[in-house]
Amino acid sequence: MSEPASQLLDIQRRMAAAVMHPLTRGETMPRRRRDGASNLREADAIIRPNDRLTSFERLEIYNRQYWYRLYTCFEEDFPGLQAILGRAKFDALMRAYLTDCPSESFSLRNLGSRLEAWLDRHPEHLGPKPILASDMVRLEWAHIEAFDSEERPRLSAEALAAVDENSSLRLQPYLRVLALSYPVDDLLLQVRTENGSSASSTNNASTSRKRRHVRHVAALAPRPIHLAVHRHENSVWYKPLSPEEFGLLSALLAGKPLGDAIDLALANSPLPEDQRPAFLQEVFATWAMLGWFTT
Amino acid sequence: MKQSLKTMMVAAAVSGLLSGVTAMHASVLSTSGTAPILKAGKLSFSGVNLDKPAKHSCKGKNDCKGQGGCKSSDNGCKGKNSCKGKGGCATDGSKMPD
Repeated sequence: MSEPASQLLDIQRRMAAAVMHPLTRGETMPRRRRDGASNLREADAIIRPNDRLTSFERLEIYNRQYWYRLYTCFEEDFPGLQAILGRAKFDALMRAYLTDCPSESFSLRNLGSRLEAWLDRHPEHLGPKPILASDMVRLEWAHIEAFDSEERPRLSAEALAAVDENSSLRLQPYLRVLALSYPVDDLLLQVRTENGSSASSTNNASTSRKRRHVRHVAALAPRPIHLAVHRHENSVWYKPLSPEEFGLLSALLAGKPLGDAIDLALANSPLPEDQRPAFLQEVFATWAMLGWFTT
Repeated sequence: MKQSLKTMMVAAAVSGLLSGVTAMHASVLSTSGTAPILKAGKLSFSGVNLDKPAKHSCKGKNDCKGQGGCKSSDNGCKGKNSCKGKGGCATDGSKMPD
């Protein structure tokens, strides 16, 4: 690499390190980084001051804007979690998570990809209703995945001719199935509706209504709920599933052959044997019509 | 599970797949790809009646903010550096060059 290009690369890396370094609690750029390096000296080395701002102040603008952008994206992606935890706890979680798991992707779409795993290691951030909060995180991430994951060509009638019990049916990459303990799908829809209508009502009233929705769901006794999160005509949908449907889809998603998937899904089902063929015919017809099977 | 029963169930599943795929393609052809085939919790594919909202409904369309924009606008812009109000990112108070 030539010398000017090498210098530019060095400056770019130093700039990125400064901009992506976490802010202080007061949301300012720290004077000293976590490794002890001085941001004051670093700013002087790579940024020119002008007649209004020092080098440090100019660099701080980028540092703050970078983090504000991450915060905004994270809040947009997890409004349900914010409604459950409340503003203060959500902020603490967001800052701790983004500090531990900084953005590493070209797209901020992936910002929350490690949240569920991170929360497994940091359950203290899940608040007084950890299962409810955890359910919501899983649903909100599934929503993001369903929104923009690939859609493959749908299964053709010709391809079906070769399907037998040993066939592995492939499902669309945007399809996610979830086993949950609370009806967080209803709650998330209410929260999103509130957020969407907040322009026409006061923030306080909207927040109060969201709290009421959360309290209502949090008061419910946990019970198994199964859900498919999928995309249809560029909208994300939540489709309730029976335990048998969930078992079938989970087995197919895991790559089990059709015959084995049916065995697994119906092994402990209370569904009478004489009703099982009709059940299978119906659910496979519905899923095929939704375009869930792919080549 | 007995093999005969298993065979019957696999056949039922394949039969469902076939009717679903056929109906899906028929629906796409009959609507020329413009009319929605899934509406407000009801599935209506030509030739097949699956109007059982309680069981099959895709609950609650997630319209997100501002109708139509939905998540597409939210997520779509994330990879871009679309600074609010143009020039908002200048650190020295100057305007962006034209």
